[in-house]
Amino acid sequence: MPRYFFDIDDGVRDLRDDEGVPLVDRESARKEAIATLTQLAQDMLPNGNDHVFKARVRDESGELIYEAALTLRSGWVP
Amino acid sequence: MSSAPDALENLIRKLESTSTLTDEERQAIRRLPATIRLIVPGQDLVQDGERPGQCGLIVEGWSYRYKLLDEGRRQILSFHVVGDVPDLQSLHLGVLDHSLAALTPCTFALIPHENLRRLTRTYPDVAALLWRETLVDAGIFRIWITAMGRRSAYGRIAHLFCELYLRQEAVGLAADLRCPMPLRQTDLADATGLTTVHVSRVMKALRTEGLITLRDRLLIIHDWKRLSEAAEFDPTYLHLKRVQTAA
Repeated sequence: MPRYFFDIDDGVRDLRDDEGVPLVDRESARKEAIATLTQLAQDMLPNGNDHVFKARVRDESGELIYEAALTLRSGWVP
Repeated sequence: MSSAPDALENLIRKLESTSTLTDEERQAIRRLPATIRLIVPGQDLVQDGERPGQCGLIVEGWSYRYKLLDEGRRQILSFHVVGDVPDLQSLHLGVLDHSLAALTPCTFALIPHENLRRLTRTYPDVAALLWRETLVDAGIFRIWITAMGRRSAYGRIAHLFCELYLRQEAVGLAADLRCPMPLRQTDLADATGLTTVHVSRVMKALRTEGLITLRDRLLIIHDWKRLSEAAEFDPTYLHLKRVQTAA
């Protein structure tokens, strides 16, 4: 299986993935990226009003093949 | 390869980790007929929907129970080590409602239901101990539900490491905060309902913060207090005779 690398910025830390994850294809990598962003959001969102989570996926050659961002904008109504 | 009587010593050791058997009960367990079977990693011992006529006692290696959903999605329900009988419920429920597979090369001693039933009829105290095993099994499921429903990714993984260390310590497979840990990140992901990428991030954090090292299938816990606090870990649900580490 090809290996994909997921650099994830959770709004606090931007971590580069040097290990990678073996996945069957690009589509699985896309789903893995989106699912990871939603899971990070579930753990971290209750602690703030605005937040952006970003994922960048690289293939084995190092080429950037996919990008995703998940944004929360919220606030009390004045 | 171990012979059947040697294999059954693992069951005696497991039952005696929380209780004491009489000589007669021990002899009766040693007399159980058992067939030795080796399963390679990923292979099923029994599958969802089957009606096994025997129970599998783990003599060597790790196994796990799981459910498969469509598109190959897998939920791991529990992990099992030497001395466990992961399909003990088949003794009374008939149809298996999940599958049981080997995580590592795994040796099972297969004990016919008929002989286990005779053992439990003759020795009610042994029946009570086996019942107790299934109750602890259910207790572990309760804690996994709690983790999956309410804990953070970090808390889930920290909790799982605390559990797997203590369960191995209780049956003499681990000591000094070191234990075998053959789980790959995909196994951890399927056991905690997380993506593999998320598990990888959490593992990196646990390592960077100096709580654990996981290398060559060996888990080293550097700081039990901080790890168990991060996990909000309370070992009561394992109902071990003595909890050495937490004490």
